[in-house]
Parts: sequence; structure tokens; C-alpha cells
Amino acid sequence: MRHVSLGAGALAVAATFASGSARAQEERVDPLGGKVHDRHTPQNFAIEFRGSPYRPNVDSDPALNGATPYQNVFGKTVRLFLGAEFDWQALRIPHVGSLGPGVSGGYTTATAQAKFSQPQPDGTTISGETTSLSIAPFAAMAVFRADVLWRDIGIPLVPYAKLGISYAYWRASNTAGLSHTDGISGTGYSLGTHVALGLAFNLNPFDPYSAQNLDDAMGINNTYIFGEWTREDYNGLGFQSDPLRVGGSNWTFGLALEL
Amino acid sequence: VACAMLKTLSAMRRFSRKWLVLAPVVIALPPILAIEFAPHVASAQVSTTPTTTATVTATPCASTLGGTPTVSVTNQIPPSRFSSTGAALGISTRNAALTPNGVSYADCINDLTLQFGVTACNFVGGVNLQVWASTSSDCTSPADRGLTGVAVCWLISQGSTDLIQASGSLNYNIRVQDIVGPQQRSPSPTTLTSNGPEACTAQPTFLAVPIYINFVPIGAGGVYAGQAYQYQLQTDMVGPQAPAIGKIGNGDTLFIVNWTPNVDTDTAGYDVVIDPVPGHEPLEPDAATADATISGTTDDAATDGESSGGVATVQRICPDGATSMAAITDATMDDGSADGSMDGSTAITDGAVGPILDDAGCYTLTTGSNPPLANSTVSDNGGTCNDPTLSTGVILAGSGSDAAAAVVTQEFDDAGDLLDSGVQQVSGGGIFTPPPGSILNPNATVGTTVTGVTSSTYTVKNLKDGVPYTVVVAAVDNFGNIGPPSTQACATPAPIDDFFKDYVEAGGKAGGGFCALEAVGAPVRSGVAFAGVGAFVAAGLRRRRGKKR
Repeated sequence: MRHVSLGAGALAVAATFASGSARAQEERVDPLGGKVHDRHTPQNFAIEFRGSPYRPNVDSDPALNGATPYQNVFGKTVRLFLGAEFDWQALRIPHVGSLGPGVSGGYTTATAQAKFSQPQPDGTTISGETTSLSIAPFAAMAVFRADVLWRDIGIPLVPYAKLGISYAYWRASNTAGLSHTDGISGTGYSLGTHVALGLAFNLNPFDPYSAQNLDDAMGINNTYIFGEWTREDYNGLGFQSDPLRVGGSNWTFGLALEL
Repeated sequence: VACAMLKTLSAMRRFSRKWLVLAPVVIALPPILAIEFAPHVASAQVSTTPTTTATVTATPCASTLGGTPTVSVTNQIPPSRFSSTGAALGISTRNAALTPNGVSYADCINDLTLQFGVTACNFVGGVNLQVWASTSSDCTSPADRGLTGVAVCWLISQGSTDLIQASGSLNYNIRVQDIVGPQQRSPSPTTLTSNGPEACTAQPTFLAVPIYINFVPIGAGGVYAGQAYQYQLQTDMVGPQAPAIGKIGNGDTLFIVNWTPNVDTDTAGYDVVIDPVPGHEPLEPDAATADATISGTTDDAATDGESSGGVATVQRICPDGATSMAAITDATMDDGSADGSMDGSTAITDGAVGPILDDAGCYTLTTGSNPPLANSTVSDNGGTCNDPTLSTGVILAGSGSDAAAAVVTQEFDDAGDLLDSGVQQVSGGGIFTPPPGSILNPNATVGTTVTGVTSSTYTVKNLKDGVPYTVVVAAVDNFGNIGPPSTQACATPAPIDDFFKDYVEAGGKAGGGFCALEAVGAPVRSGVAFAGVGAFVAAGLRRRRGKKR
């Protein structure tokens, strides 16, 4: 019921913007009194700046047999992930949307106080050292943006989908530096899949004049805020036998620019 | 190929980093050695009578005599320095970052002499050139020189009489101790007196004191007769006040020291001082050989990590091997007392009273080329960390003969442990002389462990787990003076379980490095995957270029 209400509200807002933005696309008032049709610079790329609560699903590794080393050390608290994405809208499908390749990268780290292997004589169990897991995921993907609603109807909503492969460099460290256990260094990479579904909300209707100026001056055609469900599953893609499962399902939010 | 490039870059970086560290040491070593190992004769006194050797800084007088007696200097350079034995040390004895032309506690206690060069012209008749020092006056007023009031100037060179010359200059050799010694006396001494090492503790606070060196023409009756010259000498013989040390964070072969940084601008950095010095930890009996037999002569450091570098030899001598006691000449053992301290060395000769044995009736014998430092003993006092070696050598500010004596005194119990009441909190600055080699990783430039007044943490690495260390933090000022140490803190590194260790012990198999093709459990197929992706991208690009054509 709640979802229905939210959806209805979103449509109402979109419809409100639709009339105004459609009108804005047709014409704008010239300071000298004339009317000029909208001019748009060519649109070929998209840039996203992203942030999300992130909790790598390390403990899902089958080799752990149900053990939860990540949760034991770092707890259940989510960490902040920051990243960016660059898309090339190589193919324009009329009255449907754009399709093209994209690459993304980001960074997150989890840090906690390390525990002593054995309780100290005074009963202390928490050491003065920190232990960290830093992750830098990268992805190469195909991005489809169904911007027909915005372009043809004027509803400033653009649903989109992404599908690709991901690569994550990770590094486990402590206060002394890179972790080592049994002669194995605590760093490596993981391969996996990258899937995302999202909805972008175009901000141009809020200030069409500034949006046009931004386009004229910098070539930015559209500015969006977006919400996205992202899933990265670092299972090795069949090529890697023992990847660290540093992916997971996360809600991502950010700002996108089409230019 | 990528891995090879990475490794090459890494090797180049390590090489360049190593030389970045070594180069300043190699460059700085000769002068440091020259300074540090210059012979010091504490009792030697350098004459304060002036010489008349011309210097390159001299300003020739006018060719005609007459006019006002004038003392002048052009192209003033800092005074030259000479050791107590007369060896020339240049114009500075320390790094440019540590007020090199000023006077520090080390300059004073090493009894340096400063040579000032001036040009004196038109001194005729009975006009005398005297050198006076003051913290507030140019000493031209007879009252300031004690003739008609309370003297605030003290005489540091008797000067020269009847300087009749057309040109030339004078060099005045003045001992640092004579300059700084009387700064707190009132009235100031108006006759030339030689000061001793006590002069180096005359400064009342950790704040630097500028002292004016005044070259004053003095006529008959002590009147000011001419044009004087003044040189301002920066002096600071007291280190900053002690920082407040915080809780130690123990880790695996390391611990983290935290302290509250000083707020005064006099602090340039901090020294972290430790005992025992890493690499010189006291050797312990080898647990692997804790049986009732003579265990051999060498500690199996490779298997239990208990020995300090495996250089020393440890013998655990037990009753069934008593015949070897004839060879024993040195033994260190615990008397089993509740304080946990070691009782020091006991000379043992064949047939003499034997050593005190531990609970198993054994004792240890330590010999080798890497024994603990002579003063690196750590004592435990009922859980309170008190190490005498890190508390001695402290002189509090204003403890000279002209101020209330406040040298730290300590009391020890019969086990040699410092009593809690013997620890004195110090807050007004002072001088601390750490045991040799106990300052951790002194910076090659300024000599401190960490630089910057706001620094507040340091991680001590390369330690031994299970060994109790004592650590203090001392602030260092802009003259290189080391202030009193903080209260002592105990640290005992111990193994930890970090995330990766937990992960591997739980069965996780990831890891092995970025270039995992060479790692344990190498996922070779991942390399194939990368090659495939690369080939796919290359093919796509090639096809696209082909279409454009």
C-alpha cells in the first residue's frame, strides 16, 4: 500500500514537471523579447558521482563454512562507499533511450580495533592496533538508459540498467602495514559480476534557464539525482578459484551529468 | 608484464627511498662526528682577554684620528665557536633548524667560547672598551653597570685600554657560561668572574632568553664615552615542559604511544625514549629447554623468537649439570622475589657461593656479542611502570645556584625498583639526558623522533612480544634542548588477531598479492581471464578502427 502511494506521488510530481518541462523544451523567452527554440549541445557521455552504504559480503565465502570473520572483526555496521562512473552513450535508440559501455571505480574501507590472540594478564582483550580491509572495486559494463519519458513526454524520470563484470582490488592491513598470515599476504583481487537497476530524476525542470546556460557553457545537457540498487557478486567468474567476496547488494545514491 | 613493471617500480622506489634516508646521514656524518667526539675538558678555561687579530668582517677606521670613540661591525656574522680545548667549530654546532647561532644547554655545558669581532676606532686617552651582557639594557648607563644603581649588566670581558689605532679590529673570546650564568643575579656582578657548569641551569623557565652583548666605550669614572655596539644573542638552556603521556596501545611487536601535545611555541618536536632499546632486550631462559638438564650453549631463537637476534648465547644451568659451574663467571637471575626484578650480575668463581636459583633450581648464563645495554633494565613495581634509567639525568628549570635547586631525586626499594613517591611531576621545563641510544628513530635533520608541536602519537615497531618496555616522551625545543620526560608508561607487545588472520584461520583462501600468479594457491585461471578480456578489448578497438577506414 505504501509503495502504491509513493508511486502515485512520484507520478504526480513527474506529471507536474512534465507540462512545464515540455513547454521549456519548446521555447524560452529571449531577453530582447523574441522567442527562440531550445538548442542542445550533442549528448554522448554520462558521468556519475556515487555514494552508498557498503557492507562487503565476505562471510558468504563457501570456504568459510559458515564462519563470519568479517562480522566478528568489523561488526554489522555499514561503511561508506564513494565512487564515480563514466559512460559512453554510443548508441541512440530513437524513442527508447541510449546504450553504451561504461566504467566505474570506487573505494571503501572498514577499520576496527584488533583483538589480542590471548587475553592479557590484566584482562585486556582489545589491542592498540587497528585492522582494516580496504576495497577498490572497478566495473566495466553496458549501460542502458530509457530516457524516452524525459525526451518525448517531458517526465523527468529516466530508468536505467547496467550489466557487466567487476574487478576489486582489496588490501587487509593492520597498524604495522600489510597483513600476513601463514606466509600469505593479505592483498589481492576478486572478479565478479556487476548488475544495477536505477531511476534518475532530472533536475533541469527546476531551473530551465540555468540548465540551458549550463549546456551552453559546459555542454552539460542534463543533471540528475539518482537512486540505484547495485549488486556485485565476486564469485570469480569461473576463472578465479578463491576470490575474497568483497561485493554485496547496496543502495547507491548520487549525482549524474549527461554531456 | 604488468606485474614485472610493478615489481621494477617497487624496487626502484625502495632503492630511492633507501638513498633518501642514507644520503643525509652520509653527508652529515663527518661534521657530526667532529662535533660529538671532540675532546671535552671540563676544567679548561679560555681566556677572556681580547686578541687583536684582524678578521674578514673588520671595518677599517678612518685614516685620520680624532672624533668619538666608536665600536662598529659591518656584515655582522654570528660569533665563531670554539670548544673548551680551543678547537674551531665554525659558527654553529647544530642543524640549521635548531637556532644554530643561539646558545643551548649543550653549548653551555660543553663550555664553548664565542668569538665576537668588532672594529674600534678613535679610542684615545683613557677610553676603555668593555663588554657587558644584559637581558634588558644596552649598558651605556652607569647605573645599569652598578655605579649609581642596581646593576642589570654583568661584565663579560674586561676589555681593552688605550686603543689607539687607525684601523683594525678586535676579537673578543667570551665563554658561554660567563654570558648566561649571571642572568638571574641581582644585582648583576660588575667584576669579571668565571662561571662554571652551574651557569647552565640559571635560566628560570623554558622560554628563550635574549641576552644583549654590549661593547661599550668607557671613559674616566665609568662614564659612557663614545658609540657602543650591541649584538643580540638568543639563548635557551631549558627544554619544554613535559607532555602528558596517554594510554599505551599494545600490538603485535609494536605499541602506540599517545600524548597530549604541548601548547607553547617553544616545542619543535618530541623524543620517544624507550627502555630496553629494541634489539637489546634482556635475554630470557629458553622455554624450549626448560628441563632439568644442561641444554646446550645456544638459544634456539629461530624457533621461539626469545633471543635477541640470535647472537647471544644463553645457557640454562640446572642441578644435574652442576659440573659446568666451574666455568661460570657471570650470571643474572631472579631471586624469586615478588617484585619480578632481576637482581643484577653476580660474580661467581669456582668454589665460591653459587648463584641464587629459581623455582626449578636452575639459573641462566648469558654471554655473546649482543647483550642488553648496561642500563637497560626494566623493573616492575607492583604493576606500576617505573624505570630508573628513564628518570635520571633530569634537571628542572631554575635549578642552578641562583635559583632553588630542583634536581630530581629518587628513592628505590631493596629490589632496586623506583618507589612511586620518587616520581616527580615536572611542569616548568628542564633538561633531560636520555640514556645513549634510547631515543627512537631520531630525525636526521633535527634529531627528534617526531617533529612539530602538534604531534601526538608514535608507533614503536620491531619489538619483541612479551617483553615489558618502559617509554617516556620528552619535548624538544627549537634549540635542541630536551625537556623533562613525561611520566613513564608500560608497554608489553603481544600477538593480535587481525581480520586477515581470522579469515585465513576460518578457512578463507584468498590473498597472496596483486600478482597472485606467483602466490600460494595461485589462481592461474584468473590470469587467463585477464588475457581474454584484454584480447576482447583489443579486438573491439581494432574492428572499430577498421570500420572508420
